[in-house]
Amino acid sequence: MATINVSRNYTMREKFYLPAIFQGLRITLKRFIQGFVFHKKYTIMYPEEKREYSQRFRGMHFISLDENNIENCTACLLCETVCPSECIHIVADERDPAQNPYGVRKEKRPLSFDIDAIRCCFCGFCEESCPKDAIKLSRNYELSVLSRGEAIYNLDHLKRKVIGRG
Amino acid sequence: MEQSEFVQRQAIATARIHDKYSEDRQLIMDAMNEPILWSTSATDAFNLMKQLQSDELLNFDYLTDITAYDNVDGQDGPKRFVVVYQLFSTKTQTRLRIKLAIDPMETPESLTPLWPGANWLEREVYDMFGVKFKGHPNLRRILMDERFTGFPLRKEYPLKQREQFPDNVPLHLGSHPLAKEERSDEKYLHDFYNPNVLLNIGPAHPAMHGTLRIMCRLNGETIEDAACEIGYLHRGMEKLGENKTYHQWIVYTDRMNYCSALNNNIAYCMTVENLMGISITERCMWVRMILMELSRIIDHIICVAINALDMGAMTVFWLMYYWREEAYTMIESLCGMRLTTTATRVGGMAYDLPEDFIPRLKKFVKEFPSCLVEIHGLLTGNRIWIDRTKNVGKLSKEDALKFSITGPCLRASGIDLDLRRDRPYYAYHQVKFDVVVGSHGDVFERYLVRMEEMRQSVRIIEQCIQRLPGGPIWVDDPRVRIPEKIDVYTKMEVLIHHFKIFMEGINVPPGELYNAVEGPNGELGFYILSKGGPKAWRMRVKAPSFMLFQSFEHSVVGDKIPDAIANLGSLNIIAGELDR
Repeated sequence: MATINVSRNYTMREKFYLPAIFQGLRITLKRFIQGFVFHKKYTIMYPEEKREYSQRFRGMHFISLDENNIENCTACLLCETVCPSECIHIVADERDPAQNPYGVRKEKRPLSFDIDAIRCCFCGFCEESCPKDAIKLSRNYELSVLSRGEAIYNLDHLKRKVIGRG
Repeated sequence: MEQSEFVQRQAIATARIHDKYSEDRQLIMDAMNEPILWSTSATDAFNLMKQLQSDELLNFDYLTDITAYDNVDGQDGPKRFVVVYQLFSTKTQTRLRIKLAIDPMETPESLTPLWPGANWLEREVYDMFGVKFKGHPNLRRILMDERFTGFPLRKEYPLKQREQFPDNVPLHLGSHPLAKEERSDEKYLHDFYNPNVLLNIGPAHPAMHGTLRIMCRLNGETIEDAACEIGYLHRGMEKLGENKTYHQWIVYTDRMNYCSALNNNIAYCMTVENLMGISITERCMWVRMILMELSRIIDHIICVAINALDMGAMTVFWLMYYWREEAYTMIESLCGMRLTTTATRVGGMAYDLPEDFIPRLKKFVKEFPSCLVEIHGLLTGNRIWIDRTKNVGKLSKEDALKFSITGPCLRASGIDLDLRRDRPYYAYHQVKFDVVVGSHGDVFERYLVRMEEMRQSVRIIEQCIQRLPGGPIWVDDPRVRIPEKIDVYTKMEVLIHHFKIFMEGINVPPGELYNAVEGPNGELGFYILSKGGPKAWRMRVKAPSFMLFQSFEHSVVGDKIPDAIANLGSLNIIAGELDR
């Protein structure tokens, strides 16, 4: 492991000013021809053409459903506890035993489940901590809303039947 | 350099401290076997540091950090606060921590006569704890507003209390801005022929990289005096570190140096692991090294490209940002987010590398150097670029040490110091790379150092890919291991363990540690003081940008306004890290 000293002085070529300018112009021209003649593209036409993200992408949350279209969440409050930005608010309730086909597997249910998407920092800790695979982050990253109130999503909005990450 | 070598040097230094300085002072060791020396009184601390600075064997010539913590529970004696000084020796690469217990009414002596860089650090301690320093030239609040009441890092200050102010602090030059007589300069502001025109740049100026504010006194176009105002992005990271669990705070480290969030994640998790005595798996170590070097490349790309963009060279920006996008796409496939990664966990990583990561990385390291050649063609030999950057924003060797700056800017000033080589962590002693230094410390050499460091990072990544071992990414330690999801769904014991980890957090044993890595901007250190339990008692971040921006006040004097922009760009100050 050596030490390199990168300090340097003017060379004769640099003093003449023009060679370096032409060298720079050559690089720029090369890029111009690549783009203009050979159509090498580095950008995408965003609203028409969407960027494809990986399966691990952490976008907007959803709550997964089982085969009877009932949410997997059992209101254990683990995600609310671990959330660093305190954006999940859950009110737990007991599932009516008469209409509960799951028995002890789903005794509790969330009465309300709100996520404040403006507070959320999309760290994915809620998904990591969920013991029922209920709360997940989808690949939806287009979250713009017209008012702050609309960005607080409730249970009905979050419940989705999704394969993979959407 | 072998890892054992610096441990040996540290042991020699500790023995010397033990023999010479610990007669009436208490000498203890921290979790990583680094010495902590308790000074007996406020004047004793100053004299001790003066002796240590001139001790020819120890040679503690570099002040890393000054911080403090609240001793309200009385574990460290009856006094209320403990001021902590971090010293470092550039000759022997050893560390020493000096502690001083004081009451709120006591005034320890300011270290500014020994290291002018102590100026801002002491102001921060005053701002956060209310400790006043005797003989400090300009003891004002630094991160908080002048009108703020209370001291936020005292334990009795509530986490969610805040104060709002409708306007900025008025234009001033370093002295107290609210004093009325100082503001008589203001009437000259619009006078064209006045040699003392005050000019405000920032905090929302496009060239001011985030939210930096510089106030300068101009003579013509020459800056004769400058003062920096920071704190516009202050979010109370350190206070949050005391109120969130170790696991939750990983998220906050992303938001410090957001240009190289991976580096912050890794540095933080490494500190907690060292404090708990966990040694991570071989694979995790090499993966983390790859990610650190990748984030170093990204950070240097941002610095060089934006610096050129500020000076009008748009092409460089477009050419380099393509490679930054490539790197971000790779990082996104690894951890699901481009900028705010949250990729590491204490004891492992959130995910192992995806399947296509290594082939993409191979392609990246193969093709990226051609971009560097192009940039060299565009800038290095270009006389316009050289004339704009050479002899601008000069920091001499002595100034660089006095202001405790770190990283590429320190190396550009001619000081051969790289923590990757001098205090190797992970497997940096097993890879080959060169330390890049300059000799004049101007903007041009900082640019050259960064360009060459990117090439060295590529070299390190190539070696890492070759030597990347298989095996588990997670350490097999039940204290920190987050169970596999499939076991959580099926096994009762694992589910209980899962609940315990997330409900209670990681239980870190009592102890303290200062751990630093060579971040892209310089030494990024975390000082954690734990008193047991899932939350830290004191979480201190030693951010490189803080010291860099302090030196900017001095290196900018004598330059023109456009040179100030070039100088600022070359320092690569990240506001999130500066204000924390």
